[in-house]
Amino acid sequence: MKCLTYFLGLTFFLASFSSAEEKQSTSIQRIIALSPHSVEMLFTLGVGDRIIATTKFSNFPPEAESIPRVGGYNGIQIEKILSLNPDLIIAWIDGNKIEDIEKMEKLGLNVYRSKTRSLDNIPNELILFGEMLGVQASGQNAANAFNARLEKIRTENKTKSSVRFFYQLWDEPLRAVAAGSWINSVMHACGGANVFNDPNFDYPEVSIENVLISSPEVFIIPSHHGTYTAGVEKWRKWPEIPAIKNNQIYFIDGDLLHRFSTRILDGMDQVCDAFDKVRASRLGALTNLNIN
Amino acid sequence: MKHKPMKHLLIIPIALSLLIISPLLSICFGAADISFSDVFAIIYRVFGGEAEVDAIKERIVLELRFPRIILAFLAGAGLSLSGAVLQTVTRNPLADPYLFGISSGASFGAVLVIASVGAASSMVSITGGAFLGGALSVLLVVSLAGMGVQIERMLLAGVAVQFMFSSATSLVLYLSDPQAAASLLFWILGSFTRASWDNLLLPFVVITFCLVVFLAFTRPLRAILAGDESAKSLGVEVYRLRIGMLLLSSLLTATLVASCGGIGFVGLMVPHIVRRILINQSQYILIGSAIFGGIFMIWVDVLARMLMENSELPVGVITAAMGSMFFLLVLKRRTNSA
Repeated sequence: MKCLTYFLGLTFFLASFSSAEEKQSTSIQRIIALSPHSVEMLFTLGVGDRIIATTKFSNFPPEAESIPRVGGYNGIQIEKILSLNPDLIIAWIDGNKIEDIEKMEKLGLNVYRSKTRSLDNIPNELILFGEMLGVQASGQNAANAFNARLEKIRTENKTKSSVRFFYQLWDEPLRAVAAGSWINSVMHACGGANVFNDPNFDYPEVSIENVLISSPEVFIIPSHHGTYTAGVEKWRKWPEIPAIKNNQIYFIDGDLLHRFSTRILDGMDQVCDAFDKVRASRLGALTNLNIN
Repeated sequence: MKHKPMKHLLIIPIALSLLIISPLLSICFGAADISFSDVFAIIYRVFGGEAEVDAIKERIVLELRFPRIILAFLAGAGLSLSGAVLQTVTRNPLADPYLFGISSGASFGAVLVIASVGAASSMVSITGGAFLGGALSVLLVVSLAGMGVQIERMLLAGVAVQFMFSSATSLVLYLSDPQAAASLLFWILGSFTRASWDNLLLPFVVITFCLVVFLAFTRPLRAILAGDESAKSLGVEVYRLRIGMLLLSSLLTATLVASCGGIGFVGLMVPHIVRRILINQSQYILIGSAIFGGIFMIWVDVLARMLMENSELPVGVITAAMGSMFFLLVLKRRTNSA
């Protein structure tokens, strides 16, 4: 008889637990977003107010600045996350420590692993988040808008001549991006041809000599968390590089280019504009040549 | 102990020819394809001759590779010199700028400047930070070791100070974001990429000054090798000489750490090799260490540039790998002969 009571108790307990879980999946209210891009995406979907915690560099939109922090690159405060009792944690495979993600999963937390690695994955995640959070229409609309704008950029630049670019990711050590990187696909959509195509490293370390002999037509220098670490002073003495000779150096907000959010399209617009200016300067040089 | 005077006579021409050939040969290695005849033509032009050379190749050789090779030579020479002097004044064959915490103190000072000011930090502020760190470590070692300046206490204090500064550097690294940390780490491990004609002057002046002072004190330094008591009986002010040499070594190390980051093991390894070559010729050990250290570092830098295509290896990683292999070999030979 005692056994039967225990059995019934256990059945009731499990039933109540699974129904709670069901209820949670339909209305996720307490979200911990562990990457700047997931925070931006949730705000795009109009559910930014459900974020109860995030990581160090989530600074956009401005409302995101007031969200409490639970860690950064160096790791996540899992105890704090547990105490916040979240319904969903959006982890980021390339930005969070895999040990932290696995630990949260082992602790029974509801973890989604965001793995946005290409431009086309951004709309997919917008749709997925929309479905997960019960805002399907917003997700679908945001994805459609993103796809339409991306397609427009791609079509506009498809027939333009290619521009040889050097993306100076970091100053010391001098680091570029190579063909396999995410940034390269962004540049490619604007008609950029990377001067570094190292198949082994996505972010190869290069020397001044490497840049000199690859003679790029344009330098793109991104900021990091709002500050530009790299100056152009050291390049000024190398007018042998076409980009330096023609003053084709463009500084672009790194947050626009390095985050997998819809703002990447704003960054792409700036890159495409820069490449158009390079093409125009070529034309200018040609006209001067004809006049002379 | 027997020694062959002929062998020592041979060393001078060998050292001189290595000193001339090494920079000329090593200048041909790099990303851009530049042949030995190009280098020869460029040098010929520098001295007023007329030769056809690609303008960009000429600039690469004169503005990128030459300063880099000179900095590598200066770094190797300075660190070996510092190691040789420290080994003499402490009579400990394992002494080097690392063991006394000078390198880690200087590294910490420089890292702190770079991390707080950012990539824009000037050479002067980094050198200042590195020197303050290096001097602080010497001060700590001396005060921890006490006025008696017992060598064993000094070495132990050096190890403690080294760990202290290393942990502080690790903390700065940990608190920086990944890109900045990678940049700091690359710098800590040593690199000659910063080399330019403008920032060669300071290391050159400091190394020349220290070399002249060290050479002027060759006799008292040799007296210390025989023991503190006998040196005192010869009229050497052991304590003052030791502190003075330590401070000069820290100046030397700090200047080099500021120009090219932390490069370990050279100060330990090169004086050992030179001592093996120059048995019973201790008066030449300082100058020999400087020359061979410089040549050694030129070739280490060639390896750093060439081992990986399109990428550079930190110099300190190569010197540490070679240093550990060297000590294993020495150990093996000793075990075999025992």
